[in-house]
Amino acid sequence: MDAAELLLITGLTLRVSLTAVAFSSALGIPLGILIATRQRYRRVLALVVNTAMGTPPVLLGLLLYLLLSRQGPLGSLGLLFTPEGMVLSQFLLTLPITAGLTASAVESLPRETRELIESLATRPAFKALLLANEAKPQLLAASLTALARAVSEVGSVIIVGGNIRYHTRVLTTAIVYYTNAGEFEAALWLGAVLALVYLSLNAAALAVRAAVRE
Amino acid sequence: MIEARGLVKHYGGLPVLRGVDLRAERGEVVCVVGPNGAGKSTLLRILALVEWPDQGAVLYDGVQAEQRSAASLRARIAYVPQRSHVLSLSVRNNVLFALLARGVPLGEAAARADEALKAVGLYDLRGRRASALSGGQKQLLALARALALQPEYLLLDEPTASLDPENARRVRELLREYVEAKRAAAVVVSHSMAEVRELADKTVVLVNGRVAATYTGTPEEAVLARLFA
Repeated sequence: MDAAELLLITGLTLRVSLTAVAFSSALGIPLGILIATRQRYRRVLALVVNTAMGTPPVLLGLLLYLLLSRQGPLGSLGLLFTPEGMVLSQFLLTLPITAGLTASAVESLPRETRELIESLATRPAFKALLLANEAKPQLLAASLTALARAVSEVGSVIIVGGNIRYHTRVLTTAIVYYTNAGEFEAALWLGAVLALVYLSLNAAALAVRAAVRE
Repeated sequence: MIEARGLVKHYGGLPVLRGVDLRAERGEVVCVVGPNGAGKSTLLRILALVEWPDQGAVLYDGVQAEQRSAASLRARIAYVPQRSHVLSLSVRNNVLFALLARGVPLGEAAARADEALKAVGLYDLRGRRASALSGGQKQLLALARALALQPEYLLLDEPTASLDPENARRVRELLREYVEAKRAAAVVVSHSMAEVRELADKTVVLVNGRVAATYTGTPEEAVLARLFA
């Protein structure tokens, strides 16, 4: 593995994870606000989301493999062993995280704030917007948690992506590959890069959070 | 007209309201007074439709409020809670977004926001973050936001508690003018006799979750009326 390949792997890891989390945040944050503000079925929805948060990635990977394989119901989409398929798997894996953490963030806002917004906003979209604005730091943390899960996840991307060199190999699947091949030095370098990526994401999130609070 | 009929509310099994009746006609300010823990703020939250009673009903102009259709009624109400809460926005956007959230077009919302901020003396601070304001300024902002909404029903929980005497007087004048000009109905929870004296057309004394007394006019007039009854 040379530097060019390392860059390719790191770039794909970021592209897949960031795209998946962008989609899961775009859908999960409104979904979480809806769960937190619903009168009916709130507990059932929260139970479903919290259970989904603990879905084992390998199980999700297996289900997606069966759905996306050529004989599967979604086989015609041609997503198996592609970066797009990996985005789909990470999107599904991180959606319950963004939705669940958003719901608890909104529920933990001070009662006065929620009541004020409830009394002010008669339009549901504005209500969601004002609640999201009040919970900005927590929502950022929710997306960051989802991103951390996506970057460090291996179980589903290895099944859905196939760990194909120069095509669907990401940092975690590459570590698995080089460890199995006995190339521990390469695996350790990849691990260091993964840690550095995670550190950079955390630093960026901290900077954004500080800017949001100011 | 705002009307509460037989409101009962429990928290954790403990009764907070035990059958409260209240009525505020259009153009009338009803002050609710009473000791701490009497249920005044709970009563106001139920009237504001952000909390629901265990028993009893809230009616606006004779129409009973129901949880499913509360949004359309809320659009006619402005509620200022006890701790004047501000949104994590600029001073101006606190008022502007409240108006936009009620469906007021942007141009009109901007004009109304500026007018309301001028009325309470916060216009020069319009660009500042609302969270950086003092307690009194936050209370003024909450009132500006409430008045900018041009509600038919005003529900205010100790609206001048954090204000200096000069600002408190100005706010009471603004409220009085607003209620008379718009023929709005207002319910004001208060601990201040000065406030009750200047604002109240009718006063409801709440003790231990029950209406202990209701009188019209100022506290002095009520005492005199009792003396000569």
